[in-house]
Amino acid sequence: MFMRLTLLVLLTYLTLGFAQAGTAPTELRLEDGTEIPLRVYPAHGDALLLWLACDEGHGTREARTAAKLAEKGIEVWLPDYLGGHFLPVAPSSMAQISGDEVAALIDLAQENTGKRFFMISAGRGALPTLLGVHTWQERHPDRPAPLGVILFYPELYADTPEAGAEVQYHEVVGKTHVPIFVYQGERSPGRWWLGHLRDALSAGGSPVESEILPKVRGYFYVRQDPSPPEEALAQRLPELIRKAMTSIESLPGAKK
Amino acid sequence: MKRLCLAFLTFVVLAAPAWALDLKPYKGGPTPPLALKDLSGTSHDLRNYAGKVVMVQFWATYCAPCIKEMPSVERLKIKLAGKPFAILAVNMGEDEKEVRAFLKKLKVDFTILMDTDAQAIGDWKVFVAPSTFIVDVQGKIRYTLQGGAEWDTPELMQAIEAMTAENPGN
Repeated sequence: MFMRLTLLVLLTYLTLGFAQAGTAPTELRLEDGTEIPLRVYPAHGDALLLWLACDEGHGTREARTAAKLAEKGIEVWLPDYLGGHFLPVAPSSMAQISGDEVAALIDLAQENTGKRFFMISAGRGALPTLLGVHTWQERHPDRPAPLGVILFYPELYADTPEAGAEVQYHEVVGKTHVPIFVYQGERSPGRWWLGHLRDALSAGGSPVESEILPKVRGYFYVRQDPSPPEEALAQRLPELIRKAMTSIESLPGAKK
Repeated sequence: MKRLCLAFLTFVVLAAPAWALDLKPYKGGPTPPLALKDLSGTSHDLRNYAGKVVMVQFWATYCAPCIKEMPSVERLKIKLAGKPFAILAVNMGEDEKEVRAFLKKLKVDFTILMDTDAQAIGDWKVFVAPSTFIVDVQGKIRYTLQGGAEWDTPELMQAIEAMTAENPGN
């Protein structure tokens, strides 16, 4: 009896030990000691999505989408920067994420997986995403760049645009040099400025592809009051992301 | 203490119009062209509204603040009836069927213009719905307001009414 129990304990210990050694990180520790919780959806494929979401860190559309993508072989990492910094879950909080800490996420992903990676974000998360990619590329010109960036209804203004005044994008928009795919809802003023934004993003050398999503507003997949077309399209989020990844890889200048 | 109270009151009286209005002085260039058709196919050119204060408002059926503020725009129109004042509500690129269905529910009676190809959105540099421009009697944009408002509040109404009293010749 004692022998059997000892064997069981030993086996459990060994199993947990191996499992621990093979698990992905659960947090991103920044230089100042801040711990950013990390939800990792591991997958066997060689593609990794680093997703800067403005969510509550659990059970969200992004998390459900990440799980579905992982089933298809695409690994997804969802860092909870807002939680790590005790920031309110609001689009405006995304502006407080620095390029340095996004670059640190890319470093961690590279060290742990070595997978080819894409970045993805939405709304105001687009800015820290591009800042992070730019910072990381500046630091590691010798390393393979991200395969691309997927942005849903990005907000990349330097300041809130004033009616009647020329729009000013954040300076990183003109410095970005990475393939980009932009999704914009048809039912949003931003759709009329998509060409303008594409030109601004291309100025830094980024090949840019875009698509207008019919019958949906901005923030369509996180809305509390989704219309039937918005709900239907939100269900297709994994498909939209995979489509953008494929498009990016076919852009001129994209890494294969 | 009396002086302190007086200073505070003076501050409140002077500051109140600034934060209550939310109208921002227009910082753009010359008034862009605006020549669009309404839902019945009649053409409207902003140049033909010289001598009137014109509220040019960009809106969309999908925009919640637009829906919320529209009844107050209608009330503003009624309250300023008889004054040289006009409303041109520019729909942001939606189709006629959608706009008609929306207006049936909302029951407003001001002029709706259709910017089908978004030419005016580009010319007027509209990034947010709703975005409102207040054009003075000389045809110059004086104020803008981004986002929704209650347009028949005393502060907003007084600001617009004061503009209607200006002499177009000045």
